[in-house]
Amino acid sequence: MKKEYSKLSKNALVCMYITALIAAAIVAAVFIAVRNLFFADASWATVVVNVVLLLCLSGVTVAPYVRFCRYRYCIDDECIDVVEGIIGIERDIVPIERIHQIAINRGPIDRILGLGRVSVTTAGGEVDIRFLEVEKAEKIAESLKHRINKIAVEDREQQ
Amino acid sequence: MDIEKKKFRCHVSIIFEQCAQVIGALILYMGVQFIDLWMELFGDDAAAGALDEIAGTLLLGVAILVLVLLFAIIKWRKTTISLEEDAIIWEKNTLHKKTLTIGIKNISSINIERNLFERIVGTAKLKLDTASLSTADSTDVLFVFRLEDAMRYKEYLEGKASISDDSRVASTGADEKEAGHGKTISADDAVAAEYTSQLTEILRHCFYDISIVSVLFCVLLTGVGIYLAVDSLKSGNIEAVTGDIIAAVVVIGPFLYAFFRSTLGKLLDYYNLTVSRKGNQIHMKYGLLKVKEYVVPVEKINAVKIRQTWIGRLCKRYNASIECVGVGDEKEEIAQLTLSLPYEEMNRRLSGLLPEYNLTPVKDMKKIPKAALLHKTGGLVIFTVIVTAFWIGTAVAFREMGATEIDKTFGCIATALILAIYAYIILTLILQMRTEAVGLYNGFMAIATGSFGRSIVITPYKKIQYVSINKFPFCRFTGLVSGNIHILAQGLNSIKSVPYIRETDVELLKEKICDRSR
Repeated sequence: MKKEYSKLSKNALVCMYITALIAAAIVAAVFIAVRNLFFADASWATVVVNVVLLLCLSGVTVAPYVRFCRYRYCIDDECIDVVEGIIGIERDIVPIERIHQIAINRGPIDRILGLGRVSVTTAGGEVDIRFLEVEKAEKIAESLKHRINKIAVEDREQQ
Repeated sequence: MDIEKKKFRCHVSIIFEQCAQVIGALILYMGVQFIDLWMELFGDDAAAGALDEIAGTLLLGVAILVLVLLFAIIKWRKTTISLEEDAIIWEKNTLHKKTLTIGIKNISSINIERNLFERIVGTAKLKLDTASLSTADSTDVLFVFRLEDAMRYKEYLEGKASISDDSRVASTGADEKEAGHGKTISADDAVAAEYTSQLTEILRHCFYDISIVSVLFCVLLTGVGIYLAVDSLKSGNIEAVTGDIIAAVVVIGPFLYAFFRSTLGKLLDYYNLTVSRKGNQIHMKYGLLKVKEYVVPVEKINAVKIRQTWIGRLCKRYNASIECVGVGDEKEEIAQLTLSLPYEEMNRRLSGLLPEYNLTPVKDMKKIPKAALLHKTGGLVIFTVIVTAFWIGTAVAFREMGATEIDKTFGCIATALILAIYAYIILTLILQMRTEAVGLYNGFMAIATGSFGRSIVITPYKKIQYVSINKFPFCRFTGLVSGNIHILAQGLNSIKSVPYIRETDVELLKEKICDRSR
């Protein structure tokens, strides 16, 4: 049976635009400052800064929308499956049985937009499901905890 | 048990061990000051004030030494360890209090280590590690006891740690078609297998384990040294020649020494390497100046790695090691099961030590699809773009400055260097295509990576914590993806790169790692 993937809410798109804007502003400011301080007379430095500004502009306008369209996740009885990316797509597959710890994290922008991030920790590292609405994040965390407890009980019964 | 519920401190010799470097540095410093004092007192330009200055510096050195020793003594007094029925409690009651409670069942390795000083005073370090990612890069608990006490506590903990029905690991190759070994070893077995490496085997391993980069670097340095010496000899000036030769030895000597030290140093590290299987544990012992003993429960082994260096590949020699938390935290720790051996001998030893791991299918792993070459040439394209940009920029700059004979020589050298890099990249690509492979077998996954050398990692699906897959834009044309699997191991060893596999195989891998019936 083909698994159904869930997509993000519109607030997630706003959050992605805001974070992209902040990141682009910082990168552009650093490059412009370095050019003005050390390479003010070099024409090649101006070319480099213009290229960086162009990349920042595309990073702010196009990249968040592409990222929003591509981001999806699926949680079933066996595993968590998260797919995200802009140019390259990354897919993380975490068996529920391997999860040691579940946490909900909310940064300052997440708090303003009513979003949160569910972090699941295994013995090999951490995987996040980001840009979730707070209620949904809490529901997912609760559901995962129940499943982990159920697995632990089943394992004990088998022993 | 009489050792339970008692608090112990480290052996007092740990104070001197921990302060050894500081004491050594202070003694060296004060020695230099004494020499200065002597020369000031009896030298031609004795100065009255110099005596006070040097005496003051000496007093400062003594004061620092006393403070360091005092601090070390307080720390020793305030640090204790106690063994409860199911847990170990380590406490440090200094200004920064810390209490660490470790469940005995979570211990993944119990190690005994003795350096030269400890062997002289009759003590040993007892090192405990748990199967935890947060502490994977360091030893969890380290304590120094008298040798007899350390061995007693080690035996006690081995008896309690990870011996359960679950620790009888079922075979990973139950399918008859894959010729699995299918053997389980019960917890009651005495020594099921034991292998000791002889001196000739260790010497051969030192040879097979030589790094290609080190060899090329040493050859290059020696060649440059000889060229400069010959060039200098042509001048006929004895003084200049002697000076040049001394300078060459001073510059090149340390590199050659480091190369031989690292190669032959393995002789000391692997001396008397003995690996045995007792019940559900692997025991390892090795070392000449620093003797180390490790005990690793089989269920805590997260992967087996079979490695061939470039020489090993030419001579068809393989060596095997384990990936687990607790062994390999520090540079001197070696998790070697076998040294460089022919495949049949290595397989025979591994069958005795770890029959749970079926190696038979691994020898004929299917290489990655040819379409992966399209993905790999991306690096070559990027390098070509960079080189083209470099040449254009250099040509423009030279035209503006005016080319000379020296610039033409530089151009020839740069061209030769770039062609050499191209040749290296292309050779690496060809060798990678011949080396890389991925196998999804019944119970375990095998991944082969490398170019000149080869490394095969074999890990049961239940040890894979999670999988990350990367898909790039042109993957839709080739149908291939790459990624990583994550296991419990220290540092970068926890991430194993998966070379290009078909997207359909990703679904198969997902099914296998999620299957709870294994």
